[in-house]
Amino acid sequence: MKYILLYLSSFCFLTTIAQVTFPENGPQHLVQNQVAFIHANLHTNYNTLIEDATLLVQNGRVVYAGKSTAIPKGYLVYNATGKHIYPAFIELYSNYGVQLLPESQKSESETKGFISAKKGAYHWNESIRAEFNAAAAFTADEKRAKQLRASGFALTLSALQDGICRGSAALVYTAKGNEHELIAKPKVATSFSFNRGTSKQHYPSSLMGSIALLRQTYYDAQWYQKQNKEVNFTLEAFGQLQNLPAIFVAGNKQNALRAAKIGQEFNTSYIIKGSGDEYQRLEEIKATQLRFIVPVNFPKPYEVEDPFIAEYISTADLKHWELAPYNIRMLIEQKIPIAITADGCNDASTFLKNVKKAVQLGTPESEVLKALTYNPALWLKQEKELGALTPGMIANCIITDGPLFAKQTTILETWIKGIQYQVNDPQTPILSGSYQFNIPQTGNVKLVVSEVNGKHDYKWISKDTLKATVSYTQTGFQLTIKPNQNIDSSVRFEYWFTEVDSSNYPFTIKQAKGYLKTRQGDLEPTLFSQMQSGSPKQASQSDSIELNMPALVWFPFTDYGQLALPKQQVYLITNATIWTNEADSILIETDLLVKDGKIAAIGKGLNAKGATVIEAKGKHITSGIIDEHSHIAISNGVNEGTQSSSAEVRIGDVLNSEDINMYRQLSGGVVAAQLLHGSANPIGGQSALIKFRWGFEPEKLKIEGADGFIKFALGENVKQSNWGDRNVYRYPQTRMGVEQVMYDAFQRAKAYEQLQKESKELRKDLELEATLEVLRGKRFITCHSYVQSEINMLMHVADSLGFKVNTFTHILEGYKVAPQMKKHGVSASTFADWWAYKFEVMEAIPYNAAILQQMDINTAINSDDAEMGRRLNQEAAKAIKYGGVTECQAIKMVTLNPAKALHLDSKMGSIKVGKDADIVIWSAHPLSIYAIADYTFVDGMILFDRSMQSTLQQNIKDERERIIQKMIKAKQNGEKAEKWQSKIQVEYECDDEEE
Amino acid sequence: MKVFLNWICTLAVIVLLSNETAGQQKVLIVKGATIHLGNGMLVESGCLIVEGAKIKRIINSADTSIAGARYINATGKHIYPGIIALNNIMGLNEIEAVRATLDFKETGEFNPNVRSVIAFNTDSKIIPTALSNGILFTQPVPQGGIISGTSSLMRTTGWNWEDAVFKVDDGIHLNWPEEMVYGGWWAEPYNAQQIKTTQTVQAIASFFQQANQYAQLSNPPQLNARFESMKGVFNGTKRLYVHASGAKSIVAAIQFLKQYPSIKLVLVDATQAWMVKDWIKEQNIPVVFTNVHQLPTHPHHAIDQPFKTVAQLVNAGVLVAIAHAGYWEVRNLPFNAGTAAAYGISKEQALQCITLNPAIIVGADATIGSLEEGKDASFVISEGDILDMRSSRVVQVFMEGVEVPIENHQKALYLKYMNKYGLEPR
Repeated sequence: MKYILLYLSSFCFLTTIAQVTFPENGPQHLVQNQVAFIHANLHTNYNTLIEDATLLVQNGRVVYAGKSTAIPKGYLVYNATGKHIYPAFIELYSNYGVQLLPESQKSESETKGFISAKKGAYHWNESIRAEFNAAAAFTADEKRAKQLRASGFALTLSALQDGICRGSAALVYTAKGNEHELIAKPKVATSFSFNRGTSKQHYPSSLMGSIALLRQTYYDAQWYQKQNKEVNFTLEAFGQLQNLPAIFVAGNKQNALRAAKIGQEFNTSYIIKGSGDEYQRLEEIKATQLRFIVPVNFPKPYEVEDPFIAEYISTADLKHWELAPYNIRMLIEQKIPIAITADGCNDASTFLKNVKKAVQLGTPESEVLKALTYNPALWLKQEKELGALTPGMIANCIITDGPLFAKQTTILETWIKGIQYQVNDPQTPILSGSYQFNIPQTGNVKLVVSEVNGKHDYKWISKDTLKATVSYTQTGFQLTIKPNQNIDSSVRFEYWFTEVDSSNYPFTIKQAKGYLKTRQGDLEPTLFSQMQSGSPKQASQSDSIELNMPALVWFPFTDYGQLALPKQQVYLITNATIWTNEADSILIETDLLVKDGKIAAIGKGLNAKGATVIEAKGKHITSGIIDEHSHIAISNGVNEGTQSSSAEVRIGDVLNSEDINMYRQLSGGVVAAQLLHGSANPIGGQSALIKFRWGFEPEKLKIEGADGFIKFALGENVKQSNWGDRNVYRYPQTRMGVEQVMYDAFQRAKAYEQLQKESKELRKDLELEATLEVLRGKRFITCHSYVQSEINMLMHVADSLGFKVNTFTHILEGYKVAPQMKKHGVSASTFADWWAYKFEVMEAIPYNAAILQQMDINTAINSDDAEMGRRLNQEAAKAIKYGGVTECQAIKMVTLNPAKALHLDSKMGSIKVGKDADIVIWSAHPLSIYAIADYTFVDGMILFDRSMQSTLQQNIKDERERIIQKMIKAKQNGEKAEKWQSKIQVEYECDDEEE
Repeated sequence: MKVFLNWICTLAVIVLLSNETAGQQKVLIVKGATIHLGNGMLVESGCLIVEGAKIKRIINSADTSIAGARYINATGKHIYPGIIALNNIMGLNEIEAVRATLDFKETGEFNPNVRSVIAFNTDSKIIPTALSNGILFTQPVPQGGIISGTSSLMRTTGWNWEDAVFKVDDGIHLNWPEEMVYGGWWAEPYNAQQIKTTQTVQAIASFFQQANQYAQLSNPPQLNARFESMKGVFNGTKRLYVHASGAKSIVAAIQFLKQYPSIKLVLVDATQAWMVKDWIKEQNIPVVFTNVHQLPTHPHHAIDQPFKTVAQLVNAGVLVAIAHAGYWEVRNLPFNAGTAAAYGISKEQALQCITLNPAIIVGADATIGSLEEGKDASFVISEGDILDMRSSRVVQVFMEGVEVPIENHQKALYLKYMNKYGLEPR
């Protein structure tokens, strides 16, 4: 009976004594809220358990937590025998109750995608929403609140999940009630992302554009505070948010590192909302020294029964399925502070199941509990009131029917500010046992209830085997029995408890009384009594737990990744034909010593202690190939072509160290590349000069000390000639306009330079900073170009402003203006034989490189193509076929000449003692189609070894097959499998607008 | 103007040469060359004797003489059969970005009756650049839809399609839907794609059923142009080229088409054919492997998988032709074969994949594809290995015994500017 009383009493707690502003309809109905939880296993915080404890809660706050059994008068007593009480969880990533408010917007014909559709003195770009106040927009939503409570969350941080700058977030209760009281703290945090969200504006279209826009906004906000000419509510709000904890919704591990970099620039320690793949770059993640919010939405197994379909599943996805549940443990082992979010879990049971899984896989329980309670409270600076159950804290707790992380345990109730919210009925193990039923027609029958895999199984023992279903309610239960399989009818029983033993948890039903309802509609009183209770729980079959990590992380986390990062070693390569690219040209049967990442010696009969000897008789060594024009290893967009100048964006911000194409380039002897912005606009973005240091993180790919380059572009792409009839608005639409864009940019940069000298209120302008660097000879142009008129034009623009164009890339009509190019001193980087794909390349000729070379212009041959990039030695050989350059000249076109064009020739591009050991050992004459790269060295590390290929492939096959078998087994054990959908890797070329 | 004059001169030469050979059956002897027969055999230093349009004899000796013969000293040079480029759109496409120049994709799903032969632009500036690399025959293939159209085998020389055509309407091209579906922001939902695949297969099944019924009528009550064009597929006079790239769709396509035993089936594209190579061999279906120079379909595959696929198929006993898709790119077809040779087959085997094998596949091997007695004297003289860009330098081309000039738009521009700069062309 006590049990039922408890239920009734809990509904009486309504509210605390506090004044409110809103009226009540009827007499005021305030109820004293005082509860005493007794005999509880009380977890006062994430690492303290008091057994048989008493917890006193008054008016929503904890007033006592300890061993005392004295209960003051006026308290409702909650007998928590057998139960556990924990501090309730706090969710840090949610948009609960928060949506964009409908705002008056401009029509699309009015904005054309250039200006914000939001009216008023706000930021020019819709994705910057610093003025957004989540608390003001918050409206309670009981359906979602219930789900959050079921997951154990008493509070959630609610933020707008739309845009790059998302304004302020509110901490809200998941309770029922008026918003006035549900909002715990408005403006308690701010949040950012890389995703422009629902903004209809074109800018930014790429990840690097998002990064540039956010950085610029920081600078704008700094400027805003010291100026008085412009009123801008967004920038004003942005400034005010700076002291709040800042959550950066980054997503995958590489984006987390990108966010960390922005944080460093603006002295902000973001709390990173990750995606659960942090373990794949653990060391770098740790080095950020940031805090992480991590999800537990572990992937489901994929459907892999069809081997052809399974073939399409990426190894990274297969491995992630297996390793994702270990992410939390690995982060904790590295002492990386984490909070756990339910984001991505469709329901409470998935969330709790996966949290438990993390514990089962070896994460300390206290650390997981800390990540759900204390850490979120601390990070929001609310740890004095939230996240624990010590006196003075707000009484937010969860009550469970066993230790939180035990497999069978469920959350029964979530208490918020001292008010009870039922989550789950107490589990039904009370039914386990066998029961005697007295049914008038049939006499006594026996019902045996057992438990299998956490579910009840009912068996009637009678003359016939009968099927039964049971539904359980707070006061009783219903049994439905099909008495005879041949008769389409069922007998239903309604029982209520008449005697309940509540001295132990779970409660045991001693006796119940009820009515029987037959097909005929008769109700007859009946009775059952328990014969025997508590059949032991059967262990679930899928309980095998792998405490040891089942597999290793690969670097990078994709095929052909390595178990450990490569290291420099001492190598002696003997008896090779060496193409030095120096005055000594080609050396026959010569040795080469590689040490400390450099070329240490070249000569005959070299000796070196401890060196690994590679015999290369009959083989050729060249410098590693350098691709002047590449778009591989770039994340989420290679063009920010939405404005005619996007000088502010940087490829270096979006390097993708996981791109398999880097490894494929290494297999073709390519060691380095200039990763260029696309050619969608006249002034594109800043390049990244990288080496293909396979395995290393993005920042480590960059060539140290390299000069800054920027992509410019001319012709059909920038005037959107081939983009269809809808793209006729963005300036320029003609080659005439292109010249004006260039002049305008440089004039603006000059004016900016003047401001730099004079103004105290300088607004740091990232676009003009980069443009100005060009004028000052500190940043160098690589310009996409085809026809002679435009090539000439840009040289005129440069000459008139006193700078030089560094490189014309593509430059297919360069042969027509070679003397002018020679005079200007520009390099050429061209295709070997591409033509005819658009009108402006109808006069392109494969003899171009040879003519330019003969006209004494530094000439390189590039790829602009992930596939062709790994055959650049063959492309160079085409300059022999078309135009008859010498073999030494040809090899230089893909090694030394691009090194010169990229200002890297002091360290790279030739084989000379002291230069970087970026070399290739070829199986045959390096310009021949029959030549295969046997080894590719970068900085003295062997990053590609042909002889290892079959072993590596076998390893990959074995690893895939092992995981696939495991998936099949998981599916057989009842895990729900899902179909895998290929995420096709996008191979970028210049013209690609976005991913 | 100079360019224009060059062209006039070129045309004049063609006319002169044509007149010369038309009159008398003159004998031409190409002496001292390495002769690559195209059938896997090699004559290291021999003479190729041509009479009129045909090959009279190939002798295994560096020197010979016949009274009244014309001689070409090709000592140190290489002779190859005219290369046959299958499965491309050269001649149907001039400038990819200019819609007015595109003639390869008709609207609609079932277009077996559209014929590439009549759209083949013999005045294309692209074609002579392929000819200059030794490509003497090309198969312009209509693109798009489920059945894209009818191809023909064309010469890369000729005044008009009438005299360029070598084998008219050699086959019809069926695009089998890919069985695997794709994700991504741009992709349709999974189920929608699967339904589409199923629907496409159903549409193919019903089209083939109806076309087959139609083909059995000796006197159809009303002419159906689509079904009419399919008749040749069912009676085996036209090939059915089924384009499929994924292993699963390759199997699905062949399994389906087996129910029509009279169909002469050719598998085209065949990117993942290596996964089911032995099965393809059992089915005895030839393969037009398209693009050796491509990236592997999956990151976990061998980094050089596409390079070695040809060798895997050839070594399994499959009849393989190598093709290179596109139009201007077709001139790089010999280098696709070169790569195949670098990855597991001999150079002569690789050459066979762009000469005799494609000839067999299109049914033209009686006259072209290899240098053998009685076959057409359509051959190429190169200074070096034609499969390797390092040495490929085509110096003379003969089509059916007639020397064809190897001038082109690009070479003319080269000469024009070398002249402008006072440089010696090399």
